[in-house]
Amino acid sequence: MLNEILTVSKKFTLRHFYSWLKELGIGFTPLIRIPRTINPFDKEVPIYAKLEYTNFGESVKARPFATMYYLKLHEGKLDGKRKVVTATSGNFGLAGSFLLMEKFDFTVYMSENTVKENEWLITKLIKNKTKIETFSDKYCPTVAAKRGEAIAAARYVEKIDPEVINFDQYDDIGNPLSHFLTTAPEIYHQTAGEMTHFVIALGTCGTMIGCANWLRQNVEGIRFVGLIPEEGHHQLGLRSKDELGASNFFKEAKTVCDEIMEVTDKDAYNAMLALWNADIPAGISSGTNFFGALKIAERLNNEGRRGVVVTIIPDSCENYGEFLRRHLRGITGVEFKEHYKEFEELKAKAQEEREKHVLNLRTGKVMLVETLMKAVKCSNFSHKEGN
Amino acid sequence: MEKYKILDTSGDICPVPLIKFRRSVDNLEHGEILVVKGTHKPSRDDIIKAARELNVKVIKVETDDNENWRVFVMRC
Repeated sequence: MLNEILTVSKKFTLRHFYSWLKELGIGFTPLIRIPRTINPFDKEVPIYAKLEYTNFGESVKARPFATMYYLKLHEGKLDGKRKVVTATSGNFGLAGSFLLMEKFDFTVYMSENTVKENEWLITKLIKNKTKIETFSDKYCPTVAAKRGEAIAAARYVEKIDPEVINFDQYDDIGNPLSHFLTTAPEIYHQTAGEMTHFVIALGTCGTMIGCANWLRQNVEGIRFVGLIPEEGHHQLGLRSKDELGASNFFKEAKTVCDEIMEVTDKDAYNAMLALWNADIPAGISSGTNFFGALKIAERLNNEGRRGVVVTIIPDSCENYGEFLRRHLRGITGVEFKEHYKEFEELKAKAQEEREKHVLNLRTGKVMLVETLMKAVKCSNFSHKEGN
Repeated sequence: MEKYKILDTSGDICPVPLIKFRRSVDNLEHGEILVVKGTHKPSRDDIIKAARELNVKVIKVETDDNENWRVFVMRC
């Protein structure tokens, strides 16, 4: 897949692409060191986490959506198109609703359970003038390879309606490409290339593939650990082993990961609460990621080795109020109301941090274009840089 | 006299019958009846569920021994 990523990345100039992201307010998110209060191995194995909820579009999914949008514009694929559809479990559609608002007739295809359990996300989508169509959660036995109905529906509609284009995060090279050109070089720059492990959950697998392909070429000896939730999980946006067939990138992800680790709901939710204790407004999959990173730190520590683990906080807690109200107690034994005040404060914190970051990017206070150009220049890849 | 429209999804599998149904309902006038025919049983159930969300009334559901089905809906 590296060859395909490189071929597509040479179709445009990097400076133009990075400037587009800067204007949107996407990328170059902060990388923070997880405090030692929740990482007891911090001295020997610090964990760094990238705060993706500070992106315009509210999550890590803003990167692939913006990159696919850029590629489609650049290649003229949006000419004559009036309607955009996408299959999503939430964040990808939300990012799209911000990016396409008042430009296209935008419809998200979601599973009915996701729609039922995410009132706050649905409210935001509606506010952004996005239409929602729901599909059954049950995998239809005839829809091959455990592919969700929403994914198949979006592909079918694109095929039959000439006015429709599908932003297909499960198949579009723009997904891993976005992380190859932004997330990975950012991490490299922010850690000065000194990292030993990259640990993240696999959803579409785009983040893992994009980052692994870039970092493996530029950081010697780095290891990649992919996290998957247990079957029947409540880790929104992630896919269990059984569900991962929905993403055409999973096969590639398996080849780039040195290790795949399963994370239970209980561990993921407790890790999310630990992040809240450290004043990090993390969402549910951030808990999965932090738990995985902590496990690696613990293992290195037990073996008497040093290391630097990098992970990602894909989104904040702000859209999960209703979901946590329903599930937190059943999973962790802790009542959501015990954390409600903290949750509300963290929600406000996430929004405030995002507003600040987006403003800093757009005004050039955070120098995304120059920094990324420099990081990419130092890498083992060549691109069309542009003036 | 009642007006009928027919949507034949025979041979289609999930989620195609559901998409075709949603698109047909968009063009259904008040009081008009749509008869959806199909051969894929899970799609029949999806359509019955979607009818409720789309504010169309399911009047009748027929399924024969070979799992060919017909769902009759009316725009309220």
